[in-house]
Amino acid sequence: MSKKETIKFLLQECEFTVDEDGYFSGSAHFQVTNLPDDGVVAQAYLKMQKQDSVVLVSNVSEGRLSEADDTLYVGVAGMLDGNATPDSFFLNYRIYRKIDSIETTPSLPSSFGKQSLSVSPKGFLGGKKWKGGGNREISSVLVLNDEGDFSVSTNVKLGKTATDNVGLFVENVSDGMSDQFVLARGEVVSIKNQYAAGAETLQNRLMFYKPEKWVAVAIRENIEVSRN
Amino acid sequence: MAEQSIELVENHGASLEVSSDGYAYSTVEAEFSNIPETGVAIEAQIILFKEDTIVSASDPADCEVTSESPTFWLSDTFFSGTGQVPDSYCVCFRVFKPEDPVSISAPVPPEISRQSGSFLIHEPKKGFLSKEKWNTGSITIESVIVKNAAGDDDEVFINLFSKKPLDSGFRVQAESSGNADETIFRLVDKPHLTSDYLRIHLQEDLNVTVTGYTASGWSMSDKKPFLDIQNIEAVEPEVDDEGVAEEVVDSEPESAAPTKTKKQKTKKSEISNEGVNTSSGSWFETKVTSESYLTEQFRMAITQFENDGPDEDGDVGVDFTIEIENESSKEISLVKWDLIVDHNGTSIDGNVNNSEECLLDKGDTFEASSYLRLSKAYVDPSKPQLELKGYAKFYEREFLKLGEIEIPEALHEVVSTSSKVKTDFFNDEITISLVRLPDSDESNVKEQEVYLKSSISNKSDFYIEDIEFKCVFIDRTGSEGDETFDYNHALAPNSGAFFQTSFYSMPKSKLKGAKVEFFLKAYRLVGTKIFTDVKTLSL
Repeated sequence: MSKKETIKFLLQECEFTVDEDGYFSGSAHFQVTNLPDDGVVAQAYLKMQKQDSVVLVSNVSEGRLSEADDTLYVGVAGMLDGNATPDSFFLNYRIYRKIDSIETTPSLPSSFGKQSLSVSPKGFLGGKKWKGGGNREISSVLVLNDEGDFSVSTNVKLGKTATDNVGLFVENVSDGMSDQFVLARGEVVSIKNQYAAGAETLQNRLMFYKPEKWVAVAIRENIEVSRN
Repeated sequence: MAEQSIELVENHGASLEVSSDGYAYSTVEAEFSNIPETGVAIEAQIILFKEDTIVSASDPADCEVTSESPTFWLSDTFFSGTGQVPDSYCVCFRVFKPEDPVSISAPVPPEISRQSGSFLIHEPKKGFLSKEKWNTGSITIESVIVKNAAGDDDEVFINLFSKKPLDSGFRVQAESSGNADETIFRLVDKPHLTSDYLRIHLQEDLNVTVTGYTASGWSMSDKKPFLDIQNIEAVEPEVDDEGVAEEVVDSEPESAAPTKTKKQKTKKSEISNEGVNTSSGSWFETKVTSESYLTEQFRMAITQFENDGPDEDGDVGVDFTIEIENESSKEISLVKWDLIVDHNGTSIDGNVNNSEECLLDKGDTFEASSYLRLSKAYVDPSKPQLELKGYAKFYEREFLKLGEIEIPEALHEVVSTSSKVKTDFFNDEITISLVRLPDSDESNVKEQEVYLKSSISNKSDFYIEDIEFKCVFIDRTGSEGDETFDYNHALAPNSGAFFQTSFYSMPKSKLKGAKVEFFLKAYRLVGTKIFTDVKTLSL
């Protein structure tokens, strides 16, 4: 069995309360096990139930998980009390896996306040080098010299993954490394104003993560709801 | 997307401004044609080009459009410097078409004495062999939650499941004995979802209607040039001679066309002066050194005047309606008005200090109604004429987003944020501080307080009025909670103000992982109108 099939969410802790105004809130912490060496990105939400009835659904939490940081926190809140107070919950999650990456080396502005615009260099046959599979490509990289440090904006065409809510990690490696994760849909996404420390060179690396199907897991059948 | 076609209104819809510090602000009014009677929802983004290179793109935003209101404002901001100013744009969009709605009759739980109210979970009926289905398109409604509280704080929301998350959306309407509320269109971002809450005063019957929407694929319009780019470049200041560091902010047309108030007519309409015997409109021109801001034009008339006969006490009730047209070039967001009634050479009554928010483009009209009861002692039946004097003041609005602060875990730790703002009214950088403190009642260890402070200065040479510093509590799930605000009635030119407000009695569990978002709203007088009219009482 591969690691991909054995990722598990183990409930570490959960707590739920209702205050006197009927404001229900709570959270659940999960440890994610059997992660691949290069980590994954995960999204999760809670579906709160009263017996078999769905009474509240949380917003999505997301995180980049690795052996070093393998916990995910999911919160939920809404107006619920009385005979609609939840007594159980499901975890719904999905895993993003890396499907592609593109690396660029943009030109750098020489003086304070100036910005450079870099586009893909072309190969021998005229094809663009900043291109991945599925028509994904980096259209341009803008680098602003912000008093000696860099502010980097990366414009990405999503190609066939335009409707997938694809996950993007942008890493800038200069004198140190900074990264940013965004979920994107649409034809083009701009990841704007990302900080990178000033240096002689800058490597801009974009990693594409595609979501797998949502998975539902019954977590706890009888939860305790305390009152504030 | 064969049945939908996009047309971009270039003449006044697409604009580009480049600030002195190098930020490009682009706005595009996308107009859609072939919209069915039911209306549709659109998700769209603008993509900005310099020659053939993409230099920026906005995040996708959604909006409902109808054949009467077929436009969608899109905007984007990025640092362009002087070398990457975009010269053209395109609109990338997809259409969400409404499916057949599902209508659900839900019972209303009884009112009970508990402070949080009584709750009811309403679900499809289950039979021996099958289950009732509440479907609309790819969306299945799993439950309707009804909360009946004492007073008017009743709430309704639904929980749903979508087979096609990210390619479906929905809106919810609820109606109970003439009271109604509805949500706006919302994209379904995951298989299960809880709707926004509808606030409705529940009475006997409750009907909930859910309309599902299904998305088309993405389409991209042709690339269009920014036609007024020359003008924009001409005003682009290369030298920061005002010391203005503009950045983030202004706000409004991020994702939606301006909304209209119920009292506002969207079409330009002539104001009827029928039946007006004598009326005059005059302008009070105020001399100001920098800007003559009291020169905007408005038309104003009394369009309805009716009175009851004297009641048993001899008093006379008067109904009247005032209509005002915005002929000015400004967008008016606030109207303040007073009406004074004179009789026999003296003032006998008035309806004063009225203030109503609105959104009036050029040609839109504003309507205000009122009722006065004139005391018998002041009305001389032999001279039934009343002289009505109307005073109206018109304001434009500035609305600033001032960022957010995450609530620290530790008590007594002061944290702050500074926002650079693009503003004609205030200082260019506004700093806000936040501190979390124990509850004032020391014995209450379960709750805490959050204090928020800020200051502004009026850098302009005009008065700024009705300044509201608003703080919105966002819990760890991203759900908006309480709001608190501080208010300043008027700020003189070149003066300052201090704001402070707080969230009291916040449960510690609620503060965990939460943040506070900040907003500033203020108004500037752009014109006044004085109006007189003589009306005769029917006695």
